[in-house]
Amino acid sequence: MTTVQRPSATDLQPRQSSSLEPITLPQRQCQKPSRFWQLGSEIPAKFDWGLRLLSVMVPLGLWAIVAQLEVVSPKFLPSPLMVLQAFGELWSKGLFLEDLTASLGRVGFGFLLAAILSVPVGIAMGAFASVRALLEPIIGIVRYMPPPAFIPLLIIYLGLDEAPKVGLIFIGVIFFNTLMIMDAVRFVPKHLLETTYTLGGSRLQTLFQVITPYVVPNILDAFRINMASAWSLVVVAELIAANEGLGKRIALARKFFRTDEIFAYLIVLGLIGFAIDLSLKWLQKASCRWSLES
Amino acid sequence: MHLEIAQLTKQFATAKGPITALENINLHVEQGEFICVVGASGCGKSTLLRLVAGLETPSSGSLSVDDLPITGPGADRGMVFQDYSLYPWMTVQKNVEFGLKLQGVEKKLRRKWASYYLDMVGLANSAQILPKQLSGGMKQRVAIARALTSQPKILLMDEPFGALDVQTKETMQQFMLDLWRRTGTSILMITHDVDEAIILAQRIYVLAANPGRVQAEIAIDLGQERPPEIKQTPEFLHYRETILKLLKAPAITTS
Ligand SMILES: Nc1ncnc2c1ncn2[C@@H]1O[C@H](COP(=O)(O)OP(=O)(O)OP(=O)(O)O)[C@@H](O)[C@H]1O
Ligand SMILES: [Mg+2]
Repeated sequence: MTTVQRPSATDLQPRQSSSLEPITLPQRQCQKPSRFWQLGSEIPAKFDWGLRLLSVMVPLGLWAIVAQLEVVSPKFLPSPLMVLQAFGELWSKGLFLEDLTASLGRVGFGFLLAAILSVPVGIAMGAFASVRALLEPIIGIVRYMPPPAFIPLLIIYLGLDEAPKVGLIFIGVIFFNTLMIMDAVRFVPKHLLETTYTLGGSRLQTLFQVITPYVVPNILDAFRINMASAWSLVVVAELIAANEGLGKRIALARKFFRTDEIFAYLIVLGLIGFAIDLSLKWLQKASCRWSLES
Repeated sequence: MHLEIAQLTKQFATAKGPITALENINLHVEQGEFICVVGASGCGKSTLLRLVAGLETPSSGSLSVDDLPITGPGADRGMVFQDYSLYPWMTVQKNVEFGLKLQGVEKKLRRKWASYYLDMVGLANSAQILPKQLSGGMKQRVAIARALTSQPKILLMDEPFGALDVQTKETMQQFMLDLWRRTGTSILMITHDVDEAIILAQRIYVLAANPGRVQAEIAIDLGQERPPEIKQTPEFLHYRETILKLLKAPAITTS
């Protein structure tokens, strides 16, 4: 074994810089470890689930208490139980399933149409500067026109049936989706494309076999974000002219002062949106393992 | 294989006017040679390699492989970048097969060739995992196997070991020498590490900066066997000193 000579104490003295006045720093301390306030890392699973449960149970409990105390009349603030009963009633009359299928159908159809168009257009815009120059300005302008402002036109052009509702969702989704996919494509590392060329890949092969799979996780991200606006637009669409739908039922409930029904459907809207988001997240996890951390 | 670069000049148009990255470069690589290019940062090494790969077009002069002018990228010139550039969604095996897939080789045959080269780079056991699970050195070996599987006439490498730690780098250099001896591939490699160049190359081109040009061409006569210990031999140290002196020589300023 060889031993390395330790430098003598004087060697380790910092050299004094005469022109600078010395600074006195507070005594150095190590950061204390923390279980809950560690920045950017996980907490133990048990606490995690506990906190998640609290996140739902606390507001629910507060609502129950306030309703129980009858601070405001139950006509305005129904108790959770009344809401559950109202929901049961709508369910047993078959109205709920009817409303749900109507709304889901509109969202699904409008979103699907927008997705079918926005994926290829977004990829083309990201990949080809020419397509981008041609389409980016116009999409950039149109996307800031609020979709509900299109409703009168949609009614004039498409009537009062399903078409204007699907159209509204389509308009609300397609532009943002396209631009988000375009941005994702522009972030595909240049070396990945160049490597493909030197492996003998054509531009078309690179587009379909490298760029497209690379942006699949981003496409699903864009879907998740824009699904939220589709979900709110379907309610807006149904407020105008519809026979059924979750939004329509809420509008009707207002007429009959049924706050319990309004509460029930609001909760349903939240839960279904949440479920859609979770399933898209799951899809991302299942299909794009490679893009997840660690 | 015969790579010939003659009177090559490359200018880039920038906001402040054109800059000359390379000026009057003459360089050649013969069948089975291992050639290194060294030079200071910014002297145009990457640009030179990208021109050979066909990823840039020359401003003037000519580049050709086997007397066919280089007009764009192609599978006859395999490229390995410093950042590995593996396809993150493909397994190691799929990454290595990909070049043959792009060229329409049937599945069974490309499997065999991919396995052959994966075995050669010592990663047969990692065939089914994703690139993110590999260390830097392993990733670079996958990138090399992938480039070789496409059966290029020449392998181009831009500072392939630049991001690796000293020990891994040394292992990779020995690995590269061994691979080169076994495959007989012609290699053109860029590095800024003079020791690395001397260990690996049969000939070294030393570039000078502003504008990038060939300052010297040095034949390295150290034989075939080049274990890491060779770095202590007087011959090695002589080459090292010569090249370092060249690199330190004050740049000729033109105004
Ligand atoms: N696309 C480009 N546009 C404009 N200038 C460029 C471009 N690519 C390279 N250059 C310029 O050309 C010169 C050479 O660059 P290059 O990347 O080839 O150097 P290098 O020798 O590889 O440097 P390093 O050792 O740091 O990698 C630099 O001055 C650089 O700024
Ligand atoms: Mg470089």
